[in-house]
Amino acid sequence: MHTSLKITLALIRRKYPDFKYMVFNDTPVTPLSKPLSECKLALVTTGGLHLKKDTPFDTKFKGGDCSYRILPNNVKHEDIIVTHESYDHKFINEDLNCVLPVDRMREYVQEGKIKSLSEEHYSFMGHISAPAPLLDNSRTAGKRLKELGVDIAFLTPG
Amino acid sequence: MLEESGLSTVCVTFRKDIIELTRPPRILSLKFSPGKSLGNPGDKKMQRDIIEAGFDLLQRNINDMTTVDLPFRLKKFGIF
Repeated sequence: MHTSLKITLALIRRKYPDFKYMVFNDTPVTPLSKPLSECKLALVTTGGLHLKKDTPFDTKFKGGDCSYRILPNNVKHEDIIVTHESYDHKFINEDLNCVLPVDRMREYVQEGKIKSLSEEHYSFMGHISAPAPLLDNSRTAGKRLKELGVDIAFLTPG
Repeated sequence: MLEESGLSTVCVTFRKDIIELTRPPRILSLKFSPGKSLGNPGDKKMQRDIIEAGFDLLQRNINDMTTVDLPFRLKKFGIF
């Protein structure tokens, strides 16, 4: 394990002694099955975003809140709020695209670079110290995106 | 998990060391900070440059985890 990672994990464990990181030994690869211009794209972020009317993420939940929220494709910036406590929200409050580049993706659809955007984008939380429940929720999210005909998931941190 | 569902994914990160433990297939690594994952507010060109690097990576023929270290830097106070 690289020294920088050992230091990072030591610092994390100082604050979160029960922190469990996950290590995977192989990489599943799904190649694009069609040209990019025919692809449907969804945004998935760990920025802790949700609609103002939605239940906020539980920032006090032991191990971290592994649930996710749906952001409809026609979402407006003013409808979104950030619950994540581990980063400064002033940048995303000024420009949602710092974390969720939905306007940029809408432009790419207009330009014909990609075919369309998913009806649903998803936001998870970051700062998860017990990530095992994320596996099931990620599978559920992936299954739903496939049902919507999505080809690409573009993932961004908070 | 998303790849196993049949989606092609690309992952932007500023913590390459941690993300690589989970072995996603396509990683765009940036030396940015939380809250500015795709750059400064209003920096449309930077946002597009990062996204287009992701599009390029998606179109590459890969069969294992592939990390691209992007050279972009954030402007501070209007200068680099």
